Amino acid sequence: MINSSLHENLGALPGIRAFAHCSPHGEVLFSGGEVSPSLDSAVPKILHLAAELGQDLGLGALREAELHGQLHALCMPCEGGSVMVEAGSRAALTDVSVRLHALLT
Amino acid sequence: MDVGKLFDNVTALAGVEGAWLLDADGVAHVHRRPPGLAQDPLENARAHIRALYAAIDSGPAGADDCVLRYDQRCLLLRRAGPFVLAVLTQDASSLVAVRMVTNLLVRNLTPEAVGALKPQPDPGPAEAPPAVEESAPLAPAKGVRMYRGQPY
Repeated sequence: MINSSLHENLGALPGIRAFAHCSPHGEVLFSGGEVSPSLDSAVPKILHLAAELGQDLGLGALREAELHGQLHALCMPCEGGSVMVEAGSRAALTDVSVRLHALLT
Repeated sequence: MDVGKLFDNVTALAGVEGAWLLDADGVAHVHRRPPGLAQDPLENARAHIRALYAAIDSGPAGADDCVLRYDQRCLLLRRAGPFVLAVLTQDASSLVAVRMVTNLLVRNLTPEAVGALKPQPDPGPAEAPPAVEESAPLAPAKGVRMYRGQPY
């Protein structure tokens, strides 16, 4: 999928506040909305460590990582890097997760 | 509130395969190792958990909960002060119940409450004794408790 198409599709996801597509090295390829400061560039490292953690425990490949607290974010590895979306609530991410998997696979 | 009993409530939930309670130094205070995992899966995992939270904290503060979904399992990480609770579930369907039950546990995680826990020997086939000796009483008042055929 070309980046412009991915950009449009990420922006069209319902209930999200912000999104970003990062290279494997943490470079933000494009973003939209008001991404929490420094979160986008930290996503590749978060996903890498989560994948390592899964290997330690023999859990298979990482499909996605959700972060919850004062923010609600979903990070997902994809071809050519990673994708992160922020939503206003934990519940909003459930639907986003399904749509994002369909988008990226 | 007895943190050990609250922990037992978590591990008794359907779909929960294992759980660990780690402190800031990565020491496991209580744990239930899931069947089929390596002898000490936390040996490397605890370093990665710490690094993961360091990476999260490099961004905006306030993300204490992580839900990590893998091909075969889900791992829920919840941070409360210096403690991290890790719960391994069969799939995402049990996460709602796990989150509800762990809310109470996470609220009661204080250094005093965790310090009062008795050491938990590894329920698996490991021969090594627990790495950390604590001053908490070793002998349970109600006799030996069993978990999956193993005393703990």
